[in-house]
Amino acid sequence: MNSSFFIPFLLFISIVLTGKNTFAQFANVQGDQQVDLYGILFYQPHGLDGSPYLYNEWNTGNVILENGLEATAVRMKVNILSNDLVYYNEHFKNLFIADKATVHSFVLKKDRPDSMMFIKYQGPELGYKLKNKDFVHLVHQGKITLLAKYSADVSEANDITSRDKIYPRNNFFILYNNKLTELKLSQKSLIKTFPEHKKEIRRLATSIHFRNKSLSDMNRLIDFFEEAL
Amino acid sequence: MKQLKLYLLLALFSLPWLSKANSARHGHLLLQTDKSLYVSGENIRFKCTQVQLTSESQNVLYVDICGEGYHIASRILKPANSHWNGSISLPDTLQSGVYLMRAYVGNVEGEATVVSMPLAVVNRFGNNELNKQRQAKRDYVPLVPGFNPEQDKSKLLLITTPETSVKPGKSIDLKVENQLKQTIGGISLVVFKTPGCSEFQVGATKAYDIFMPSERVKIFPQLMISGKVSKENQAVEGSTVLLSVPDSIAGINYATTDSLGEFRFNIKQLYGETDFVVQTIDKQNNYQLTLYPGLLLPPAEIPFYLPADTEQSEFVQLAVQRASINMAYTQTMAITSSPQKHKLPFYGISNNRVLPERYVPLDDFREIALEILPTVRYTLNRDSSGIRLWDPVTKGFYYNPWILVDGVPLFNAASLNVLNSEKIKWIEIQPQVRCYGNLLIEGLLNIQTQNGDFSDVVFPENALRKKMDTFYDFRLDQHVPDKLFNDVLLWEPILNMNDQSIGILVKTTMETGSYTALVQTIDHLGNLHQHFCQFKVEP
Repeated sequence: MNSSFFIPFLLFISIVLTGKNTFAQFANVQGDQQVDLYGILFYQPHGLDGSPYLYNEWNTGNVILENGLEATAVRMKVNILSNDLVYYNEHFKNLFIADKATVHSFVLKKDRPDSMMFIKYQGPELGYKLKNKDFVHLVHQGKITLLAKYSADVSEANDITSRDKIYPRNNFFILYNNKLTELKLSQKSLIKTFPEHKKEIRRLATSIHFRNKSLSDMNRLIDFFEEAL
Repeated sequence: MKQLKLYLLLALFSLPWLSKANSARHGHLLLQTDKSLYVSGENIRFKCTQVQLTSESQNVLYVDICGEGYHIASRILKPANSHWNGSISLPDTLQSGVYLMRAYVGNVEGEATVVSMPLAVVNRFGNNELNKQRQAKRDYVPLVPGFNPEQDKSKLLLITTPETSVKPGKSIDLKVENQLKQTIGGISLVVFKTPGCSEFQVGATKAYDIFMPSERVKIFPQLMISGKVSKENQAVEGSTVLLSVPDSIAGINYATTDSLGEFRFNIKQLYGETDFVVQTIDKQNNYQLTLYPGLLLPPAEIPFYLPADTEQSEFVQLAVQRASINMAYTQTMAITSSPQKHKLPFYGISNNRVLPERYVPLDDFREIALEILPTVRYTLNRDSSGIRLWDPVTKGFYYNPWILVDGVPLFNAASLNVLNSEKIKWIEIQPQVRCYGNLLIEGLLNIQTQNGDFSDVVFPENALRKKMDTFYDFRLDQHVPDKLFNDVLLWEPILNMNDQSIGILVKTTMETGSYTALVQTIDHLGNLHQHFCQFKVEP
């Protein structure tokens, strides 16, 4: 038998005989007990122009419940119309809204660089823009907390042939010393919130080449700025 | 080149054996108690350590005390850093004799790793009929409980005291020195009274393998309630089984039977003795439900007895007197159940709650549904009974809503009719389509009775009810005030040793006699290290 064929053949045989042992250690999932989510049947909104979701595509994430348990690998979308978490139940092949009372927080796009942590907000309220129990994106947490609330307005159609239109709306908030302020993604808005640190903010913004309307730049700016506080 | 090929061949063929050798590791358990002789009604304080760290180190620990063919008491403990500690009470009526204390953990295959030790108990009322019967048996041997001062002392773990004698009620200074780099489960310290002359053994280093292996009894790493569904002795596969606990906040657990007809529920956050109701969703067929015992079977024989001279010795008689005085003057430890964090009903929060006491008393559930539950349609006929729920949002009926009584699902609507206004505390309606994991709930009606124990309605078909032990949380024990007389001056399962040596002040009681201070630990190689020193309490 050709020796150049013999060794790979033996390797193949060895792998077949031992595959269960050799690969099991890599494929061995300890199998966390399934964590059950509390869901309400979701009825898809019809007759709307635009997407009611933050992202149209399904993303995988984890849901942390109020009882401390964590459901992993949940296919989910954030409904910006009703500020709800919609998830896909594999067993019923149907969509359900996670019962807000049972959810503590969730992570969208888990294990990705652009993963987003959403929490159920508890704190000072700001009229209709931010209320307790709203799901908000926790952009930055430190001395200064930067929150983003993704919502949408529905504009009624003008004529019979048109459909109602969804207009996404993003609101940003800063929580500092238990004081909540609305923030626009601009230097000016941050300076308005921290007027005594105007020079510092300007300097930092220049150093990071801050761009207005950029959430990631605002995150970086706040990250550097809070060290000065 | 040829040699290289040969080595490669050898390497390839040794792969399967290598991987098996690496994966074949079993840990052992070390069981320690605070003393070796107990009086009926006393608490046994224990610590169990995993000698070799394996994946079982974070398993639930089962501890039980057995007689010959029966269980006396049991505990199920959650792990804490590869060790477990807690206490277990002996019934006051327990007769004198030798019993078996066991501690065990399980693996994913359901196989138990067990450690056991004989437990000498003296009945404080003098009831020793059982011991006399055992003494008469031919193969039974005497067991003298105690501490052996001849045993080896570690050189790396030391306990010393500058004083050999101390007055009653005064404190004695102990110094513990640890030169071990790493220990498993921490260092334990116990200071206990020893008799003047006898041979004793403390702890459970002696293996005693009497337990009944059984295919039926499987012990898993988590607390499991398991059983079987069968029909005419044939296993039923694919049947959904529900587990519920009568409670005002309805929780539910569900499982599907496998090819052997077996089901398993993983219990995570229940404490104390819990009343379980297990039933199948399918009520069309007549099934037999069996729940497997949660503990290993007790041994058929425990071939030891307490010798008469030990039983009648001054040391034992003093122990009985001490226990009787302490029981008369000390409050008992109460085991309370730990409330679940953020417990929510599995059907979510409902805003539709009706309290019948606010209305005119009504005689049965048909009248209640008619008069005070406008969204509930209750039909009660001889042949068919049912409930429909009206959803005002979707403007439709749910024809198969869930019915709960005291949080336990009921599938026969006719059995609701016995409930009248006096018996019902509140009624909650959930007119939504919901899911809880893989359970679909198309509307739900939950009735909470005044009794709250699911005893007011006919017990459902294809169901079982059983009380079983769940987790024991020793941190919830009420504080026991200092006893007047105590044979265990100090029981510290984990010494707080931030430095290599610490000093400990132990207060003695008014009871004179010889005492031993014993420290024990396991090193990272699984070796037991122990050291002791002795002193006297005398006027």
